[in-house]
Amino acid sequence: MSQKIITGFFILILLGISWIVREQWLSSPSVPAEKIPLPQYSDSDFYLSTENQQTVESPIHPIPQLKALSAELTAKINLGQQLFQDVRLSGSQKISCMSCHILTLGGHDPRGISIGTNGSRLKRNSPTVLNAAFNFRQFWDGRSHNLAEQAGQPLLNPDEMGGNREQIITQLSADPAMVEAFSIYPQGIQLKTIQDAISLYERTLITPDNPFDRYLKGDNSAISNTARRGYTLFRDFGCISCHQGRNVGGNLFQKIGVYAENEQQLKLLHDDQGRFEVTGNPVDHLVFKVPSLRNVALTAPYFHDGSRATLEEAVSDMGALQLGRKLNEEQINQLVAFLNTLSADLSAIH
Amino acid sequence: MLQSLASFLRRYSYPILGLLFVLFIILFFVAQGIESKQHIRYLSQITQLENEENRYSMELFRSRFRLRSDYDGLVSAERTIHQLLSELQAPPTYLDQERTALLQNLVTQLKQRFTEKLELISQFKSAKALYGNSVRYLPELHQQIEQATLENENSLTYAIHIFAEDMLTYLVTENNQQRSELLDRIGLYQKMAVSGQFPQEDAMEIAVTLLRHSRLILINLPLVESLLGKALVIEIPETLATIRETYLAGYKVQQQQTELSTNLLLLFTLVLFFVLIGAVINLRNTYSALEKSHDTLEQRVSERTTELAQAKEYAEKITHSMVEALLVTNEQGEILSFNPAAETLSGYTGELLQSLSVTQLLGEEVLKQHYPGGETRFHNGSGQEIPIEISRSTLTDSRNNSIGYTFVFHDLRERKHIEQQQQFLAFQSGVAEMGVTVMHNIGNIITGISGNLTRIKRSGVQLEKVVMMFESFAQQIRHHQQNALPENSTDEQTLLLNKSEAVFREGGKTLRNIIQGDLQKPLNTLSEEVIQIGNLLKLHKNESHPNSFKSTFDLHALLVDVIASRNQQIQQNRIQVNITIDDDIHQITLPRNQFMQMMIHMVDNSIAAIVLRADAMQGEQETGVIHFHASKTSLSEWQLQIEDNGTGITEEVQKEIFNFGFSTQHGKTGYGLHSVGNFVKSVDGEIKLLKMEGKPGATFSIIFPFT
Repeated sequence: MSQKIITGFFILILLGISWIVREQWLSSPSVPAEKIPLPQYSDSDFYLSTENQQTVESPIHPIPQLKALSAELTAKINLGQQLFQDVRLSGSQKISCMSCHILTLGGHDPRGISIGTNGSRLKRNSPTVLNAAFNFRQFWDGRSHNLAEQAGQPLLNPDEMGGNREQIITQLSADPAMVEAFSIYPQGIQLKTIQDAISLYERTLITPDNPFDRYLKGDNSAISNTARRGYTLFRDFGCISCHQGRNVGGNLFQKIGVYAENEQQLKLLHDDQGRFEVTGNPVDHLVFKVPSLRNVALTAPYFHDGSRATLEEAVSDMGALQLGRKLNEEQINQLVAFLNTLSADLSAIH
Repeated sequence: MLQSLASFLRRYSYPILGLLFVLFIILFFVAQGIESKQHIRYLSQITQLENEENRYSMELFRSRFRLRSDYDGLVSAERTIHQLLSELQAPPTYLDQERTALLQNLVTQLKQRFTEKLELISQFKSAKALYGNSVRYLPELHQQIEQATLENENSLTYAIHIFAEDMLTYLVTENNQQRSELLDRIGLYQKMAVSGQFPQEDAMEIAVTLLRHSRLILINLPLVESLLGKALVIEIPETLATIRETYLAGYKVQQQQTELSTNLLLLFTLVLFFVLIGAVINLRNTYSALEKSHDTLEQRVSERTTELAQAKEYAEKITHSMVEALLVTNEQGEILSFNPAAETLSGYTGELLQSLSVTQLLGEEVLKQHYPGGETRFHNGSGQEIPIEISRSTLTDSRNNSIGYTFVFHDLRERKHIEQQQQFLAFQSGVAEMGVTVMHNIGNIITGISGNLTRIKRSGVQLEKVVMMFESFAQQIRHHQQNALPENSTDEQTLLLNKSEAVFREGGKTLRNIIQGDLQKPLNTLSEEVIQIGNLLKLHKNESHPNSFKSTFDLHALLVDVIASRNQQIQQNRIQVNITIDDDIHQITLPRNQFMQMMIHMVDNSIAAIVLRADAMQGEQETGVIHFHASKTSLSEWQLQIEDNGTGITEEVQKEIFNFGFSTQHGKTGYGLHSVGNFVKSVDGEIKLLKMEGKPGATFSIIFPFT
């Protein structure tokens, strides 16, 4: 009897020790659910490798194909898609991300200058959301380093969507379907999870299926001779110095009007100091992110202020302002023909 | 609470031990695994960052020396570096706070440096694009200006052609001295061009373009170099090395700290393991011991079962052979088992008996708490009333809790019959003795009567004499009347008259004597004696019925009756009889006749003893005394003492006095005291001969219960 009691005490002591050990080893500083860092997904989580696919030597690379995504990622992406179209994210309850990024047209705002929730006209053209995932920075002035960061800004900007953090969270939390959809996040409904879901969705908005990428992969018939000549000019004139990589741009900053003698020559609609407004560095005066030329033929009007209505006009002005070349009509046509090969069939984009 | 815990541990000690062991092993490896996992991950993140940083720098170099380059590699490296930096911001949880803060600080510094680097690189990219484009355009512009020189001999055009060639040379040599000179020349030529020194519009346009591009080359080429140089000297690898060192130092400290607990855990795991092994061995030993003891137990059980069966059989035999009826009941009195005698006696068979309650059979009182047992009557199955004697005992379990009763009862009919016979016998004997006594008493009276009759006879002789005297006197008178002369008649009459006066005086005197003494007194006595005989016969007639029913009567009156029945002897022997009865026991309830007979026996014995003593004393006679004393001794009993001062009873005789046929007196049946004893016993009383030291005679004490 007494032996059994001793055994019992021994077990209790061992349990106590195991508890202490467990506390010491396994306990992490108790992090509230909302503070748990969001998982980061690399490009390899989303895209298939394009290695060895390209047969034509070029500083332009084909856009990778989406791979089969994990269930967790798919759930988040589906949520992001819903949020992208959700007017509850705006202050007026009337506009969504989709209002200024019309996917079926080109993922941009064809109105040139976007109009905010309160009807105010904005300064810049909404750049396309398509392939935005491949841009090295977001916004014309590159103030955001990634899509998630970007997604948060228009939401709360009073001139853009004019949303209110508390209101957005309250409204979404009142919707059982949303609460259910957000259950994929242990952090629950928060601005950062909203941004994360939208950004993950945006990473799927890519246009790998386009004629020029097929050409790069060895399909010579994918583009016309004119386009091919346009591509040669594109390379030889040095457009490709800025517009290169898989996104044909979107990976460096450049001053607009390198060869302009004065600002009037730029024929811009507003006074916009570009990246200088972000960094305050004089060298960033009139510096903008080089935009991607993917689907450029679909995303008129052009330039950061939408001041160039046609692609030809934009090409011509780019030649003069950035390359110090006066392009003739044939060259412009050839370049435009090339640029057209960068357009994808958008019917596949949801 | 503690007891239930102890019993829980006792019952589940082995599963608990096993579970704990598994838990410890899992905990041990999980804990190790978690630490290693975190450690490896953080280290690999640092290494990865180093690699990405290297890749980034390599990409930069590559793009620096290629005219047409893309920045996809740079962008993907940037993105990875950003991600890694934010991951490094959360060091492993096992580091202490101070070191965690230090690491976070270092990572923040690193982030700032990297941002700085990115800024430089983005400027580098734009400068390089402009420089590259111009460099690529320069040979074409050189050709164009050469053509213009050939077409128009113009000193400025020629000079710009030479300048273009110098620019191409500069691109090869990258001579800084030449650069400033070239820049100066650009300024000069631009001024000249603007001042309209070109003969041809197109030549001027070429010249202006060439100068612009050359200027951009001259500005951007050193810029590209310096930006790249600045970017590459930013201390990212050094900071990363510091982070690595700081982390590893923290890890080492942490490891040292946890080493003890790791070893402790290992030790406990081992101890637990051995305890478990010990427990298993113990279990095995216990099991085999258990098996052994089980076999022994089995054997013992079979032995005990046999013994038990035998014992049961024996017990059954006993109960079956018992003359007494045996009933075993539960506490409520439901009959659980019984023996055949119970069936026979109750008149109910098996199942019927089992369905009965003992109270239905023997009455309610048998289940009362303090049921003393004893004689009672019950009605058997055929409605016959049967006298029985019951004894009850309580059945208890091992904890001494009452679980039921056993009732043993037997038929008193036979005994009652014998007792009745005995009583009848005793009665007959009593009657016989009484008859003797009655005869004796009547004989005594008749002796008295005969004495009286003799006296009466004697009176008759005297009466006869008187009669004869009167008859002779009457003859004389008659004779005188027949032979009487007238002359003589007077003398003779006078003589006769004298004579008659004497005769009548004498006759009357004699008659008075007869009447007054010799006749009246015996006649009176005779009359009394006849009445006494009548009384005696009446008294004994009442006692001669074998009536054993109890009745309530006055004790004093009965004792007076008894003394009256022995009045003659008492008076003859001048015996003094005293009766003292306490107030509360005048009325008693007993079988009156038998009690009276008993008292008569007792009085007879006392008288006999007193007479015997008087004979022995011869003259120095003291008065014989018989003393009756009745008193209450307790709530349930009373006592009757009969004390005499007779010869008493010697010790050797004392043992036998209540035996049948024993008598110290010749000619007595010896049934007296025996029947007294029987009677006393039959009414649950007790008779004792008391020893009274220093006093002659005998004292009997009879205890009777109140009924």
